[in-house]
Amino acid sequence: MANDIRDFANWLKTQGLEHTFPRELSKLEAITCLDLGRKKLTHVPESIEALKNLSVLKISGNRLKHLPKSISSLSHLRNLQCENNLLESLPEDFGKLESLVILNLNGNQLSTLPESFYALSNLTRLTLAVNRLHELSPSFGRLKKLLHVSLDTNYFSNLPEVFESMKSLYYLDLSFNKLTKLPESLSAIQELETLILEGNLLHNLPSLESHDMLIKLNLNSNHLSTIDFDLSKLEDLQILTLENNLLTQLPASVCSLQKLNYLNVSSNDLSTLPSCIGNLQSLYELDIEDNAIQTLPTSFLELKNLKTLYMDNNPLTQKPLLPNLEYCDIA
Amino acid sequence: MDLFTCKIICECGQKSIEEAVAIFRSTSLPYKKAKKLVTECNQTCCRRPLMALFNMVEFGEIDYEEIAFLIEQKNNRWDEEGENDGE
Repeated sequence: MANDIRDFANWLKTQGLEHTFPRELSKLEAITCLDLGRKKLTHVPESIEALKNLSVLKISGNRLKHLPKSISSLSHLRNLQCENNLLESLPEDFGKLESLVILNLNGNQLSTLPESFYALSNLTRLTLAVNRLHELSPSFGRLKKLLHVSLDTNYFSNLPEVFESMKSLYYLDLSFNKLTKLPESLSAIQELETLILEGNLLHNLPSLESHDMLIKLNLNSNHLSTIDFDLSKLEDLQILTLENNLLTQLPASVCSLQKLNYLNVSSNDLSTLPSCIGNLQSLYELDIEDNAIQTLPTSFLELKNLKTLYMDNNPLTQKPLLPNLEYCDIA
Repeated sequence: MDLFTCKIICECGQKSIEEAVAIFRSTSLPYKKAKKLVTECNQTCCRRPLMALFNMVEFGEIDYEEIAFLIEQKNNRWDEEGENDGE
């Protein structure tokens, strides 16, 4: 052990980092937080295991292709930040990091996760965005404490039914994958507040009516031609984005969303808006740009709180006279 | 520095990092609209380098090396998959 800490101290020195950390070996050995972010590191030595009390390890923004195997022995590690590196794999016994609560592996080159990964049962925040993952193991469902999950920008074409057990999940980002359908178990997430599905290949949606706590729903850049469920059930919804789909109609049920303050339906094939659009009394930003809308419904003038309106690239030529409008992209 | 600034940030629009910086500096539009001025398209392309650059311009300090790294990552994915996945 004494050799380990000496070896680690020497490594810090070779990286020109000796002034950033305690010089006394016993103090170095006792540190609980180690920030090695953006130091152009190409490796971290096995001797990091000498830092037995480490609770937070930040190694984001380096050029790491591998993590040291010994990282798995850091039994007090609660927060590992390893974003924007070049990791191609994780150590096989990565799952021994049982204390991990926060894990950030965004922006690496992971194509698989070791089976032990799913033993990280204390994780509440997991971000694996921008990797090369094609498949998610059904064992993912063992991570029952997850509150915040980001799996965006990977290569998932389908997902197993893993969400049944994640009752407390409030943030789920599945954007920029290749999903053609969504798992049914998604509807079992009771506390979901943010659901981001942008940039997939969804032609239709399962009913999202059970997500009555949703605040933000992003369905941009899919292949949706209709919304087949009752939007009015999403009574807490504040942000709804449907940009860049194939919608020819916006369902009238959208008008029941009394808390909706941001609505984006740009780049669709809409020729009209629902006649009840004026019911959206909380709306302060609306984007209908790049559609085929010729006239606005009469009730549009009842959008008293609308501050920002994008309506360019429609046959419409005049901006509506709204009392609180601060910005409109046409004169 | 010049090595980085003249690097093409996105296939769509074919603008260099330097040109994208100038566009972002000259507009008060939010990211989703300002991005279209750079890429001249409606797709969600080159999201990571463009969004990072937009935020850096807003913040007032640009890490060109980091942007170049994100462009490389995006190009590597492009080569692997042969398509734009939004990154």
